[in-house]
Amino acid sequence: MKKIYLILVLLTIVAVIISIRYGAVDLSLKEILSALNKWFTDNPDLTLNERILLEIRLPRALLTLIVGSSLAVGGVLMQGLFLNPIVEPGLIGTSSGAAFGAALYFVLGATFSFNTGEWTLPIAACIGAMLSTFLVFMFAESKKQNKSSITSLLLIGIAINALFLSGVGFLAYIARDPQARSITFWNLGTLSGSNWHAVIIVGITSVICILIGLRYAKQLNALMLGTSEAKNLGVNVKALKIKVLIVNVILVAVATSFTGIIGFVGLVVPHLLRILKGSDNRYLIIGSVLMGGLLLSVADILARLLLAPAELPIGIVTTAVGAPVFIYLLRKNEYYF
Amino acid sequence: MLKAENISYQIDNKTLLNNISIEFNTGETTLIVGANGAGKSTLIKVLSKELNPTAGTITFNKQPIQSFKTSELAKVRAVLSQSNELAFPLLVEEVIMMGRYPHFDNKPAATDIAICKQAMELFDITKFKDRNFLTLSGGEKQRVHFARIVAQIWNNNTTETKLLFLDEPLTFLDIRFQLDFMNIVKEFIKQQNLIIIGVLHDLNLAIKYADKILLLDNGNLLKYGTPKEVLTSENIEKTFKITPHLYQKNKEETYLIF
Repeated sequence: MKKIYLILVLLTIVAVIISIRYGAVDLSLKEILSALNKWFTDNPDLTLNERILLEIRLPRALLTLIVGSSLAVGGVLMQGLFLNPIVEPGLIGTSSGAAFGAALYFVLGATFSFNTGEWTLPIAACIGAMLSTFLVFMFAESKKQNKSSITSLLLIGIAINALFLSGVGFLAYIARDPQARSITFWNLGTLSGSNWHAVIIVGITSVICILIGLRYAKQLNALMLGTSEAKNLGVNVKALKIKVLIVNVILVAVATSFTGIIGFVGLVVPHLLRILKGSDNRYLIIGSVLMGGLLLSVADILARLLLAPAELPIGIVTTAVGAPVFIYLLRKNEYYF
Repeated sequence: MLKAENISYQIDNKTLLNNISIEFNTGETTLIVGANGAGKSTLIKVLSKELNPTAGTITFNKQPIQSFKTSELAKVRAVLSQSNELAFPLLVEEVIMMGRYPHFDNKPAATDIAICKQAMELFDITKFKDRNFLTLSGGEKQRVHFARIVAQIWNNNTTETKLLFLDEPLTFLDIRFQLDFMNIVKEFIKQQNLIIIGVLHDLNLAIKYADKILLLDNGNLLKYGTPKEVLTSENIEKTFKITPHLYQKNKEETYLIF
């Protein structure tokens, strides 16, 4: 297990170096070192390339790592909660709810003035995501059996997604041009808006949420045996579900609020980790922090280099790569079901 | 000591358990016997605090069982049921370690690891501790769960009483492992202070291994006592609507033939 972590860390370092070196302008290693040196010594006398590194490339590389980790951990938590490896935030309404909250902010944010500053967008996304996820959870729960079957969960998820995306569509329709463009970009997922504010906000929430998630890893493991077995092992299943759901929604919504919907990370990363070394949730969460960041960094490098100097929305890359990988994984590991 | 006083369980106006009072003593194995729908599993669930009785009280070591926190009770009460599902692939070793979850916070202590090892040896599954649980056969899976349950309430140095519930545990096992398992349970009860309460379908196994038999009929406690006292032709006829022949192999061993 430690070997896997080590390899992931090394690969991540390589990916980050590539990601801050190459782009519309290629930077030399010397420039990178000199910029970092000036940054740490608070030297304000920066060349253009050094400013590109410190104000654009570096925050982007860091935000990519954090968002990738958050989405992957979100996938682990949801799969653990619903005992199904094909659940991810996009399927159970979290992403569309966050999109709706964010769209509401883009369109109406100027009308109402909130005094929450930089936190307004993530909070709006959180509220939207909270609403949609709980709707899915509530309707999917069968009154008779007191648990949600995966079929009803997915079907209700489709319906709630459609509902919230029609809300997003409506907002985009009534929006004026720059706002509508924000919404479109947001729906495709992009890291081009990265800045240090986003890094700090997403960084703080993600670290807190992931640490909390790690605390529940053991209880989620017990849940793999089924609800009554978990109860017999001393787990308060109802409370666990609500807590994990809230942590997951905040984790995913805040990350998504700055980058838009980035699909399939929460699905593919836990799958790959399970194939490597089983399903212990503690390992999956730590592994997801590392592998999620790594994979999203690679996707971001591709998004920037494939059509350079133009840039693809990263959501297109992750979905294009993720969907076939997902189908392949499903076909190969049928015993998961 | 586990004591149930006047417990009833009703759901949708149907009475599944009707006014049952009974005391279970430490060191004794009580097996619940009865026809389908007699309320055997419901009784196990009520006694193990999975379900709350609609009337009556249950006390464990003189404290009402409702006053135990779920996480505290899990250290001294284990339930083995017939389900052996697992939602994701895990190693056998990891499944058994789940039994120790109530006892540690983040990382298992050395005692937890040692107890898991002993539990695996007890059930002779050490040889596949590194295998994926999902690739085991039904019987092997059930043995892994036995080991997990035993590890859960295993305690090396105290004399406190622990509860072991067995809800039709032998369903997936062939006859040799059924006997093996019951023999191991018998060994285990000698080492640890246990109250064992179980449901078994096979009346002959019940006679062989129970200290006490509890005969349920339509939610009512029909008879409670030693196997000889309870499983008479008359009582069996009354609850199962079938007449057994008694075969006395020797002075101690009696078998029922249907």
